[in-house]
Amino acid sequence: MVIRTTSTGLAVVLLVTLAACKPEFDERTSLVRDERILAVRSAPAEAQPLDPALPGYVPLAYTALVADKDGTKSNVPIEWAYCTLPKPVSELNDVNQLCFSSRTAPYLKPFAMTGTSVSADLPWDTTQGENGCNQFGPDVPATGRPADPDSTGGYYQPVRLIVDRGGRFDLELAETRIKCNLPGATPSVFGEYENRYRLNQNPELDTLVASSDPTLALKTEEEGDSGLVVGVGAAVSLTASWAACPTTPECGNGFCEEREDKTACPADCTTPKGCTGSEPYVHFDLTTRTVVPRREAMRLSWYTTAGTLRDDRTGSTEEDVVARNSSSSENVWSAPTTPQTATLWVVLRDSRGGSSWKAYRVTVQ
Amino acid sequence: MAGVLALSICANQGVVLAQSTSGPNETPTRQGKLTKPPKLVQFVEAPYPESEKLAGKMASVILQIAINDKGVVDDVAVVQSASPAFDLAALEAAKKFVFEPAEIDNRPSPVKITYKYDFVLKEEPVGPIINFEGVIRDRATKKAIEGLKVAVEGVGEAITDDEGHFEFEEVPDGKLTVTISGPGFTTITTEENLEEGKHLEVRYTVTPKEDKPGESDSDEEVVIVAPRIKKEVISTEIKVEEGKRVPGTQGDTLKVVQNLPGVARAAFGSGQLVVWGAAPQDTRVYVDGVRVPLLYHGGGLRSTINSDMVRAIDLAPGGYGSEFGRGLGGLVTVETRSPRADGFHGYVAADIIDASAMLEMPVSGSTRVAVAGRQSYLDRDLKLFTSKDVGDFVPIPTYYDAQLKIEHDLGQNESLQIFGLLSNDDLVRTVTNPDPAQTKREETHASFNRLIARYRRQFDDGSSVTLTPSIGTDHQSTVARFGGSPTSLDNKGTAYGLRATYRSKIAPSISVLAGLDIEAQTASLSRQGSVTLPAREGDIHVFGQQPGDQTNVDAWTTTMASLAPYAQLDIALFGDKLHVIPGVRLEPYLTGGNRLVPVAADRPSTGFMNQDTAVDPRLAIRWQATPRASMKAAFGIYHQAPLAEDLSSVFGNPMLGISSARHALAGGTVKFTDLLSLELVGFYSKSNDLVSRSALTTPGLAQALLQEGEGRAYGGQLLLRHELSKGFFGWASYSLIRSERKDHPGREWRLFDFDQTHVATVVASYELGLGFEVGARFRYASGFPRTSVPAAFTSLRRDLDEPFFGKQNAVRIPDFVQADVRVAKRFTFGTTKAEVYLDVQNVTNRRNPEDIIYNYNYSQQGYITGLPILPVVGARIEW
Repeated sequence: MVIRTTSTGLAVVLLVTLAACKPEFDERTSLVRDERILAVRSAPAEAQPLDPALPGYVPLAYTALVADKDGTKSNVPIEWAYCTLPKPVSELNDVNQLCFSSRTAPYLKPFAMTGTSVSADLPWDTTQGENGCNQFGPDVPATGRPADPDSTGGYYQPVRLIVDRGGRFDLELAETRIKCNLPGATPSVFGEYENRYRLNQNPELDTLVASSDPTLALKTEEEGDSGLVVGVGAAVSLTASWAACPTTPECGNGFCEEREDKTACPADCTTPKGCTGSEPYVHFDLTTRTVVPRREAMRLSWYTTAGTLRDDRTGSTEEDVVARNSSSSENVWSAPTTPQTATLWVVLRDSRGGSSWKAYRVTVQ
Repeated sequence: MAGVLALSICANQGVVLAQSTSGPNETPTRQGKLTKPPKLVQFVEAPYPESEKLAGKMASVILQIAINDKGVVDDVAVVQSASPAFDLAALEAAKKFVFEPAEIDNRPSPVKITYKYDFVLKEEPVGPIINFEGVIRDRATKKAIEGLKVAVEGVGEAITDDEGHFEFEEVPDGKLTVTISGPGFTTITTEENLEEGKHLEVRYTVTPKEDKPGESDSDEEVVIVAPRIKKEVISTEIKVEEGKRVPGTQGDTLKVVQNLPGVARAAFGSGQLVVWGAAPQDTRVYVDGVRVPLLYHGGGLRSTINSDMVRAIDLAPGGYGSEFGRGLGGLVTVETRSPRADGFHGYVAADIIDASAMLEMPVSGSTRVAVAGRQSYLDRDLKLFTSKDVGDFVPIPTYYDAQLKIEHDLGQNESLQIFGLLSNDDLVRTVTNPDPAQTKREETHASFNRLIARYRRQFDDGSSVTLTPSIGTDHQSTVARFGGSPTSLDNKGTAYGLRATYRSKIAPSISVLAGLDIEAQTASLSRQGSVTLPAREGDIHVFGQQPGDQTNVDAWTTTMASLAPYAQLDIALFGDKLHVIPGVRLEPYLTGGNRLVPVAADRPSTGFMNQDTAVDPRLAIRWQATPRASMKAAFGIYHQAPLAEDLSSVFGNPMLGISSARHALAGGTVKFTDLLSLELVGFYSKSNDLVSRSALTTPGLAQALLQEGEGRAYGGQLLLRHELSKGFFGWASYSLIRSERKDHPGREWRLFDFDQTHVATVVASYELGLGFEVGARFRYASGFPRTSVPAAFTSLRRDLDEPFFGKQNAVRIPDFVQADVRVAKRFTFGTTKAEVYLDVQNVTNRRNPEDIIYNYNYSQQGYITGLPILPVVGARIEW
């Protein structure tokens, strides 16, 4: 650990010293050394808790991105479980700490499968009438306090992940966005919301290009070597991009958007899908109690097995997206000082809980 | 020896009779060794023979005195005659002498001694004898005051000389009514008892009269017959001239409160007052009897009231009287001073933090005015010189404040004051980050203003009435954005107040203080963001922890009112040595709002109004055991209304009622000298019905907060204080305090978030001469409690690690130790004075940990450290 001070001399009666000092830690989240779970993706990205016995019900598919110094790992014995215990308002974390207190508990609903790719049904207790929306959403009894949505209006079903590493446990929390009712909305507002809101679509990373050859999209890990070869210690600018979503609904653009349905726009909504970039969506504004349009913010998490990344995370705020419809983000990777093959991961997350990722193998010589 | 004793006895007589025994001539009447000579213990003066006196003769008669083994004179014989008259007078007197018996071989034995009885004529004094005299000094500076008029009813008047001395001759014995008056001093009257034949010497200390300096005696007919009841049995009053010289305060008297016993060291940049283990919001601050929401500007850099407007500041950490209430913790009272009437005065001052100025003057014979203002610029200074980290950790607000005081004499013993004050703080800080979730922007605003009128009337019988109506507005606003999660809290309120006070002496030994204390406040609030932000006392979290992204909104209004009649007696017993001060305060609290439950669909909002009535008995006892030792004890019950912020149906609970506390304390003071004293106090306080977050996984509707908490604090404090004298003052204080909370029934007691078990402060300042002055301050404090983080988990949706917590508040930040030094040089140019000072904080450049910080996955920890060495240069010119 390096202690950095802000004293820089006796400049003008040491006004500089008014800055408090903070320690700077040398360990960065973007450097992958040991095996870690970097992301979890659920498909679909947003689902409504339903009785699995209903016809046409499709369980959720979960995929975990696990990485270590050698690259992406696929056979990792991840134990999955839904946690159905709400969080008291006295806890500041995102989930009740008891969700991690034991491997089995009445409020834990373990998945039937283990591994990096699993599927499961959202909790649905027919006898108790319990589901994610009345445990983590607004559908609580009249005498109870509804859970608060996140800033995009979403509610989330906690998913607890455990990796047993010989008595030492890696503990992770994934959350699946669940579609619930609106808290305190009038029927007309709720009707408008239902008409305009579209379930979230997981984003997709389109390309990653390096500054050395902006015309060359790097190949992913699944496709083999990325095609990027850099010298030792070289700094490479990387640009990750995703789809630029239409800013106004338009039938025929391939996306089933607000106010479009099978009747109004069968071309887009017969097999509905959303944009894989920064999607427009509608949001129930708790202040005005009206439905307002929003855009997703996008966030990229960057990881590498060697070298250093300028930024651990980059992205576009909602304001960036609205103002510029931005659909890319840059970072700089400094290659390691010894020849080797390094792996880069870029995880793209939208602000409604969707995610995706890609991995790239880069040759350093 | 007997002779020496006899000489001293006679020294007070008109005639000096020089007597002596002759030790070597002592004749033992039995065999053995004389081991102890006889000692004259009762001398009898012989009447000077009139015939010899008229003839002007002086003589010595040598006597032989036989003393038995009981010390009684058995026989007296003249060995050497002077004259028959002298001999006879000497013989008769000597027969009545009483001795301690002589000892032979260590046993009382009869002896004979030779005794020389001298008859000496001394010139008789001309004129009357001085039998009443004294010295008058300034209570604060201890300097002698020249020119004060001292009048003894039925006797006459005297004027103090340059040593503050006055004297009266031939004052008849009995009760004396003494009145002291003079320019710039309030006329005071006191009573003395002159015993027959005795000489009475007194010492008075007086306080300069702030409100009418420079007026003629004819205007000063105020006679304080009903003394102020000492309202707090335990309190520490700081004089302005001391406070300005304390290192680390940059001349700000009110910042000295943070160095008093019983007060925890404020966390860096917070300026919070934690008194006797009470929460910061539980300690109330009053300016001229009117509550103000903030004593310090943001970050605690400066107080919101100009020090030059302040006459005195007083901290009562607990157990205070019935004149004040509505707070579970301590009490800070600030008394402003009157504008000067003796011409145009003012000052300008500046340092690296801010600049301020003040002007005061009389505008007519009966009206005086003072105006002061301050503007900060530290935030602009820092942008020029500091690293980018400043905004991350140190809130540096832009602030200003202003005060205006007008005082008008309505007549003799009747005045009207108008005091207006305003304070404004703004803070904007943006921490940009390539990660949109890590970009933070915060805008805070805190302002208040008060318009205070104060009408005073003192009556001929010594009683007085004070009426203090007030009105003001408060506005506190925070708008923050943590990534995509907006957070805001806005609280606009209007405060109304009326305080009516009546003082009187209803019996020679009983004074009464009675009054009515009315406060009402309407507030309009709105809030958006996570229910857990801002964090509350008792929340388990760590520094830098990303707030939750759940969000909600609410907008509500509240009305709170309280009308509290109170009364307090000061019963003086046993010759004013014992004061029993019972009091009671009847306090009905009205709490209302417009929203009992959250907004839902088309459901109309439902208002509410709650009433709680509290009866708060108070009792204080002060016993002046000896002139230099006193004991004190107090007990009181206190109540406090909920905060308007907590009455949200979404984020709080509209049905919150009043919280209560009981204070019990006892202690004593020993004055080693007139200037040096030691005070020891022990205390215990217990709080009930404290507000805490619901711990239920599914809280009730509109019940995010519950009133199930308990608190307790106990400990003691010590204050060794040297008053300002000959340019030196200082104090050493130590507080040993344990403060704990239990948030819900069945939970364990835990340490209070602001608990500081040990707090020690040493302050000293000394005038070297030639205008130079040096001062030093040393502070030691236990670190605040914190909760350990033994592990963490990763939130994959938000891509951040979140901590698992160990036992709440089971670890501490390391201790805080800091030394500060102040050097000042004053210059005088006629009526203009200038001062340049260097106030160096943390002279040892010690890196004091202020909080614990963790790396991204909580596997490493370090400390945020406070100020390195910080020299602050300032200058001030006053006239």
